[in-house]
Parts: sequence; C-alpha cells; structure tokens
Amino acid sequence: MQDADTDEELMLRVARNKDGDAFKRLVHKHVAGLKKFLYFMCRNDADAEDMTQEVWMKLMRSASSYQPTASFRTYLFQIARNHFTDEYRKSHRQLETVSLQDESFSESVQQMASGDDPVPQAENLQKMELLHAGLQSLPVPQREALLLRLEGYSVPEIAQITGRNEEAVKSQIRYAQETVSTRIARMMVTP
Amino acid sequence: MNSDSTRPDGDNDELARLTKLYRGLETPSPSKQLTAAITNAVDQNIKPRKTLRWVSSLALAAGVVLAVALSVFISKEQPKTDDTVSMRTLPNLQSRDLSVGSIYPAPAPETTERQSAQQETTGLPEQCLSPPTGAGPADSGKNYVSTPEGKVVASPYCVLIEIGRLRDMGKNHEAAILLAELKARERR
Repeated sequence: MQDADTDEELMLRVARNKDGDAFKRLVHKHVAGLKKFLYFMCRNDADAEDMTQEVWMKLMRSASSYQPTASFRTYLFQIARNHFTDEYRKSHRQLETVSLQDESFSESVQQMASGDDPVPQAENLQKMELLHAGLQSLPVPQREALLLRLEGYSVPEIAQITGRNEEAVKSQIRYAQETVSTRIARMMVTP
Repeated sequence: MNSDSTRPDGDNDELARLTKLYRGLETPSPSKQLTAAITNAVDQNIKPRKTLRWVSSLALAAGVVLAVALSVFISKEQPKTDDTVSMRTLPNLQSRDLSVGSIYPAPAPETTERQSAQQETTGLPEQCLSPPTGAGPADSGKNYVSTPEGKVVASPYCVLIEIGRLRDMGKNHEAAILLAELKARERR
C-alpha cells in the first residue's frame, strides 16, 4: 500500500532510484506547510511561492546525498531555513520594508470573514491578525524559532534545523512567545 | 515532534494557545502554477522509475547473451578442414555425398594412359586404382582393399568413392562390407 510509506522511505526511493512518483507524493504532502512557514518568514506571498519552488528544486538536486539521520520534514525545513537565510542576506532591505499587512494576508482574512457565524469568527480573525502582526514584528532568529515550534518541532529539532544550541533556541522561543502574547493581550484589551 | 518535555518551562499553556491560533491561520495556499512548476521540474530532471530501468537493463542483458550465443553457434558451424574421417559421420554418408571434393580434397592427378582407360571402365579416379602388374616402387607402399571390381587404394577418399559407386549400382551389401572394412582400418 502506498499510504504505508513514510516520508523517509519515499525520500530514500528518490535518493536511490530517482523515483519521480515518490518525489511528487512528498511535494503534495508538504508543499502547503512549507509555503506557510516561508510565507511567515518572508511576509510576502509571491516571495514565498518562489522560495517554496526553489527549496523543492534544491531538494531534488541534492536527493542523492540524502541520509535518513533526521525526519524528512526536519531535513526539508532545514533546506528551507537555509535558503531563506541566504535570500534574506542577499536582499535584507527589500524583505524588511514589505508591509506587515500585505495584500495577500488581507485577502485571506476577508475570505475567512465571509462565514455564517460572524461574531466568533470576527474575534478569532482579530486574534489571527494580531498573531500575524506579532510574528512579523519579531527579529528573524526569534521568528523562525517560534514558527518552527508552532509547526510542531521539538527544541532539539529546531536546534538541528537552525544550527544553534538548544539553550539558545529555548531562549529565543521564550522571548518570541512573550512578545507575541503581550502584543495580543494588549490589543485585545485596548479597543 | 510535540513532546512536552522539550518545551521551554512555563510555556505550555501559552504556547498551546499560540499554536492553536497559528494552525487556524489560513495563509494563501500554494498556487496551481507552483505545484505544476515543481511537478514539471520533477518530470524533466528525475529519471524514469526503477522498474523501467530494470526493463531496459534486462533487454540489454538479453541482447548481449543472444549475441554471444549467436557467435558461438556460428563458430561451431565453420566447415572442418581436417582430412581425417570421423567415425560418427560415416554411417550417415549417402552416395551423392561422395563426389570428389565434397568431403575429402582430391589427391593430385597422376594421369597415365593405362589408368585413364581403367578409370573409364570403373569410374574411379586414377589415383585410387590398383597398380598395374609390375608396379614400380612408388605404388609398392600403398595398401589396397578388395572390391567386387578389383582393388582400390585404401584411403578414406578412394574407399568412400567406391562405396558410393557400389551403391549406385545397387550393390548395397558389398558397399556395407567395404564400409565395415574402412571403419576397421580407421580404428587401427
């Protein structure tokens, strides 16, 4: 059964047999999550799309050297994080000057607001906008640490992805979480 | 990936709330163009699946084996140039196979008038004929076999021609005796 294949098994088939079907299955499974991470990292939908494509291309080119020492998802996000860091260094100014409330996010908020029960949705949307704004206000190291934590990675895995030690990662997550929570609480109290 | 033991101390509740908010955040989903671009790149850059490569490897191996087998077969089919008579092939010989040069190369001609006259009556090549009375030293070393028509030089070439001649005349019994004689000589 195809569904019984783990991500690591699929990636090994790509690495050893150049199995295109296995690679496509990995793409379909992880492309949305990867793009979401990159979207919050770079704050722009078009840039996130470009980076997502480039990350998959990098993965394809380096497939033969894949070793299942970590989970496939950790491996994928490590490539994504390194790619973002490279791009961020190349165009630091451009990325930093993008509006915190870019058009694509506003559009998605509008789509979500069109539901049947407006009151809870409106409150939820407000929190989401605040989370979005809070994430964007964080320095890059804190933002990526908190985003990876919210994506479900453990501290050791985040340390592996980012190349930092676990204590530094814990500290970054704590500062990032305090900043975002405080901002949300303040905005929710203040009308 | 979600083990609580790895979470920063004191963060659990707040982190859980943020995680719930984050997971509920709907960001623009990947466009169809993005997915299509990636899958197209996969089709262009990743080789066919292993099963297909197996088939092509198998076909190549089969081709090599066939070529080797064919070359061995052809080399075995090359005609022998050895003059010796194979005992296994003798019983299968038919009279029509016994023409001059078909199996054994014809000896060099040594035509004399007497032999030519004898050849016309017996149909044997002159070098297979029995020596005339008072033959010289050149013929003294030769062995002969007796046939109903006289004597024939006891070489496989001459005896086989004589056997064919006898069969043509319907003297199969005599031909069989001569064949047995030839085999006995070959064994010796």
